[in-house]
Amino acid sequence: MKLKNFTIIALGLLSTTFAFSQESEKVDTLNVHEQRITSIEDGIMQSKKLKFSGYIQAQWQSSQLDSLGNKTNDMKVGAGKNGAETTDYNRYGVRRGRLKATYEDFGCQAVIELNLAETGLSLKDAYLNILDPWANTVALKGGVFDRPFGYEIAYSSSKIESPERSRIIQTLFPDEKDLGSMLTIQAPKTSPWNVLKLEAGLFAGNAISQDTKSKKDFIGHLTYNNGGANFKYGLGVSMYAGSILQPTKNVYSMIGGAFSVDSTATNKFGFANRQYLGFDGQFSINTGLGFSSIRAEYIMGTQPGSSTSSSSPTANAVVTADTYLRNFAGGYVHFIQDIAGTKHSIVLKYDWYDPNTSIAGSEIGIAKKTGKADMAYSTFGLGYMYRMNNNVRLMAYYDMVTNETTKVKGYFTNVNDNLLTIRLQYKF
Amino acid sequence: MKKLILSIMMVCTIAPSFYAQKIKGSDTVLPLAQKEAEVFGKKTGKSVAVIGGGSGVGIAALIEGTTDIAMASRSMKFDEKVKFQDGGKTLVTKIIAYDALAVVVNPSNPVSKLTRAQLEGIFTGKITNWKQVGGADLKIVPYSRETSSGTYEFFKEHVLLNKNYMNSILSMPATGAIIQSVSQTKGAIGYVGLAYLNKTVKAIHASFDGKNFIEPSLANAVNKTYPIVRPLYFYYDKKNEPKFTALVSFILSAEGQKIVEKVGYVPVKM
Repeated sequence: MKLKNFTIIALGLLSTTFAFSQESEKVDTLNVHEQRITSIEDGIMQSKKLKFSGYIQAQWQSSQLDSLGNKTNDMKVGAGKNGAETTDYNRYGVRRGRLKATYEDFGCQAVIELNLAETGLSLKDAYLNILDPWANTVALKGGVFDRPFGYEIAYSSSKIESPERSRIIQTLFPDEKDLGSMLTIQAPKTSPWNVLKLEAGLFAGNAISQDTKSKKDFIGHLTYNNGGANFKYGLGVSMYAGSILQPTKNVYSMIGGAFSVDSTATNKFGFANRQYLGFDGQFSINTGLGFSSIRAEYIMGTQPGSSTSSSSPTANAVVTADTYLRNFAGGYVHFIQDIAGTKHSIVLKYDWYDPNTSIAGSEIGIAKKTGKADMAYSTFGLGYMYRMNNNVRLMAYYDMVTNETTKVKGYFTNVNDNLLTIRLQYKF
Repeated sequence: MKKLILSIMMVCTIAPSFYAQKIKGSDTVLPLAQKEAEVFGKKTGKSVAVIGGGSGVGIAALIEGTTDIAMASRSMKFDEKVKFQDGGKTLVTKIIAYDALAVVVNPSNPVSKLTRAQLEGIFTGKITNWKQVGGADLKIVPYSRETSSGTYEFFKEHVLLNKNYMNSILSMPATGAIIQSVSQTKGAIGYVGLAYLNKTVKAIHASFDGKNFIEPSLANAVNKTYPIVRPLYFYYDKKNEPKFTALVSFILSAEGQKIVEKVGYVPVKM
């Protein structure tokens, strides 16, 4: 009897101990799992701060040869034509091979972007962006980044629906980027003032090249954006107030339909005004026909250049050449129509750039010191896009380029320099 | 080696049956989607994983391709539609139910009815004391959902007529947190989906015409007298439509719509 009681008590104790030990094991296992999950979550949170993105654009371009047999400026890949090429010529090339690393924490970012192509490795973006932690309204940016002027400059090459940005943008803002510092002021999303955004800063004015002057350029862009469930619109006004060093005493400006030189000794190492005023507008709507978007931009102002070019500077040192001041105007209208909610879109674009509005085409080549750099261009582009998925996009695009008819040799009529671009893009 | 090949073959055979359709998004739709998925799973043997996070989170996941279906308590924004389309996808929108949004206060609050204009005044910060709307001399403490929430957007659009919430509004990450805060704070006011109503809070009778004050209830939502009613959405890519037809058809069937009612939402066919 005693043995039986002892056995029952012993079994009871044993089973209780076993139950306790099982319970304790469960709790331990749960704790271990919790710790593991917390550790994994911490790791994920940390790794989410660093993001890599990029895109590759491989393309084939075929161009008509102009009457002088030159490689046109509009062909962006490949070497110039060789001696055997007497009619059209074509080139394969990687237009963009971008890799971007973004580290983001507490609303602040550090970004480095590189471009890798057959032409080599180059820097495209390197900036920091610090958002004020109190009102989330003001951000300070510093480094190399997109100039805050108009709409097309900051519109990513991976999204743009034409092979290149408009001629006026490429001429006035080579590389799209510049070295500088900028303030962005925009109220948080919860504020009614969120529709307004001001970006303004001081820049070197020398694209992605070394800063060559102590005097900085001001660039500012004020935008208003709003919309509804099925439409969106935006309006913007931009200003560029800068300068370019005059390396010689000879400064040419247009007087009475021809260039006139001012050779005052103090002109040397003085500064020529570089001033632009820009207006931009965008409207997108979603209807039964699919998404329709129209974007337009108009820029006017004064551009200091050389006798051969109205391009903005991009060299690491000041190029010694006489200064030519030109009043210019130009812009673009870009229309994109998705085909009824399918993966296909058609694109139409018209852009123009008149680098010297003070002279008619018929006078260029006759009037003193005028030449190719004063010639106006317009381009009508027609394209097709196929978006396979989030990553892959195919573009086929034909640019019809028209130059002003002038008295410059080789440009008495419109030059044959139309361009066909077939581009395959992978974005990640 | 033989064992390895057999194992691989088994994994390959079994793996597809483990593939679960993934639904992500609105916390408002979450209890409904979970219940529908559970019953659908039992009937068909097909697994459906349902995850919350908010309408914005679900739509972002659909754009990125990390969920099959986005559930939302608001319609997709223009920029979201553009991003979705940019991925070469065609959007399918299905309304699976309606939800009445109830304005709730602490049970000790004597105020039981408010007009839309008064609600706008309270949530935009123009009305700050309950005595301004016939209540006690007590500071109003408004609670809102976070900006990523579809409920936040809907309330702003339809009740505040797109005016902005007051700057100092207390944002809550989930509906449950609003219920808890309102139940514990005397001067509190917030808004929740009908399915979340319980006895710890008092539902306000609302009026959009300034005359008829209607109680938020399933019956009043069905008979269309209650004014704050919104659709609940499923969004997905048209390419994947055949995969989701069975689930969506089930939710829109008589049986699925009974679940809608049981969970506390308003069926599509009212």
